[in-house]
Amino acid sequence: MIMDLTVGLNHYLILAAILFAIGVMGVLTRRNILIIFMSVEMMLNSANMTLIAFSHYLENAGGMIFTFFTLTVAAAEVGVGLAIVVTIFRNTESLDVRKLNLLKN
Amino acid sequence: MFDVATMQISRLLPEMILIGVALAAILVDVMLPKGKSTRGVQWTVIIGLIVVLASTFFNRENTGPAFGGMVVIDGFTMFFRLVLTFITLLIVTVSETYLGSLNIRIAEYYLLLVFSLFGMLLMAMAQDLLIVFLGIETMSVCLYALVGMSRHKHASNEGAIKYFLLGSFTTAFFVYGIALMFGVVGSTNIVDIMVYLSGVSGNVPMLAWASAGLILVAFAFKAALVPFHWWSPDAYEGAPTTVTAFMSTAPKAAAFAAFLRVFYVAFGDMSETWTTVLWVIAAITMTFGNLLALRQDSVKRMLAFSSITHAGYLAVALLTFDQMGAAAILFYLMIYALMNIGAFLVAIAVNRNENDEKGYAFEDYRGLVFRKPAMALAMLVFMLALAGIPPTAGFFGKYYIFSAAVKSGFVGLAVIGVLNSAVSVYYYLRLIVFMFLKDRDEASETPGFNLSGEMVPIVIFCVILVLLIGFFPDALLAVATRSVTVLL
Repeated sequence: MIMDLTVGLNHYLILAAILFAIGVMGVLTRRNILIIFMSVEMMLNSANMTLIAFSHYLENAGGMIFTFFTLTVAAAEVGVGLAIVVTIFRNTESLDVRKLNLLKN
Repeated sequence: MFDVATMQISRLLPEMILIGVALAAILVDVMLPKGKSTRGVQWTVIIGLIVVLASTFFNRENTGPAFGGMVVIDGFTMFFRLVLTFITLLIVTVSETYLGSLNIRIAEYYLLLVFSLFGMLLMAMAQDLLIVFLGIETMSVCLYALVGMSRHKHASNEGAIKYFLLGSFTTAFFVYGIALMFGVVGSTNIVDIMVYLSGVSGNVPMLAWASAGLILVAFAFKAALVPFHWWSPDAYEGAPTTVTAFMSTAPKAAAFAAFLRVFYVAFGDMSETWTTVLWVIAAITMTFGNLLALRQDSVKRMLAFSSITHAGYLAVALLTFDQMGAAAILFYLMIYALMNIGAFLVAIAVNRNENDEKGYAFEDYRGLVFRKPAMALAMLVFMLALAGIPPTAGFFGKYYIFSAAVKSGFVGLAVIGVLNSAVSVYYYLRLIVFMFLKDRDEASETPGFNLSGEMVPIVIFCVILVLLIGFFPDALLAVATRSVTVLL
């Protein structure tokens, strides 16, 4: 039996959806701030992948242009985010989110 | 192909001036001696924001799309331009002395405020999901840094990291939602999406539903609606109080501006479903915010939770999906900004020691009227307004929201809202009882009032406007109603 091995739009979309789900699980279950942060980046990149896949499939460059903006914004976020992480580490010597419980109801 | 005339740059004059102001403020900061007062930067920004307000006012006839339909300048944009710039102006004016007391003497504070205002203005004028995204991010990235401004305080760090992690988490949802919508429609323009969705009426593809859901999550997060509110009490409490006053008013207004534009225009044809979802969210948000606010012993945290409740009232108006509800949102956002900023300013003045973990306690207000009668009276007005008691503006804000809900047939939700409003009277009145009915106690006699020179006129100004709008609500409502005609 000959299988159709062409990689089509659906493959990219499904892969992106799986990556997005893994990212969500990472944010919800991990305890280290940096790992959570990396999971968020993975979610963003899975969204980028969806955009590019659609962009190629629809032959519309809009999605790829959007990706450039997403990447730039993600870089800006990393800049501010890591600065906050550094200040936290200076004060608490830990990156465990469980130790961030000073503010409670 | 590329034509400068179709970009209509002159319609974005206020935004260009705003960026010019930020650049000028950076120059002023470089020229001033380091580590001293940042008064010079503050004054540059104050004058600049006044120029922005004036240019918005004199440029108000110059309406229409710009940048090839990426943004649109209409009455709705104008309203939010004025409100958001006005809120920022109030906050900038009162910041300097307070920051001095925290030993924060960095001019970047003002720059971050200005840049986040720019992001909010983008959100208000966006006619493309790309611009909504850029606006949200410009605003949020600045706010993350602002929340973490007191970087030697653990609470500030903690609020900032929680806000940052959850904020970037929802950003990913937003981008993924936009990506799916791009796949369905082939464009991220709000008008294109509307045209597409009304073309397939009743037969909306699954991906579009998924996309709308993800975008709803992102907006609910930015507006701090339950169950996406967990960042807000912590970020509000950790942030310097002027930032809290800013965050609980301006970004909320900007979030509702983008919320209105995207859901009323782009997803108008899916309204039956998203109003049902928002019905549940609004009911939970109002109740939940109230129940938690009841238990707080810190005025700052009480105001943080009550701002969740107020977001719930705004969601009630949002889901009516008609002109009256949209106008009620605009009206309420304006007066909520006035009463909330006023309340936070009095809280700053009463708070004795900013670095104390037990700051902003209700106990500090014991017998305030005997010591500082003017301040107690101002707080009385703000609390009555937040509770929605006539003759303050807060009463009319709630009245318009709930009557819009009843007119659109959401009677059940309006009843829940009114009941919640009654519950909220308890914790606002509790503060009034502390101020007026409890005896003064000797321990709290120590002077701790730092209502600085520039805060006094702003508090008086807020009191006057809250009362004035309470007596003459029609003028503001007429402006709000005219502003939302472009949406429906």
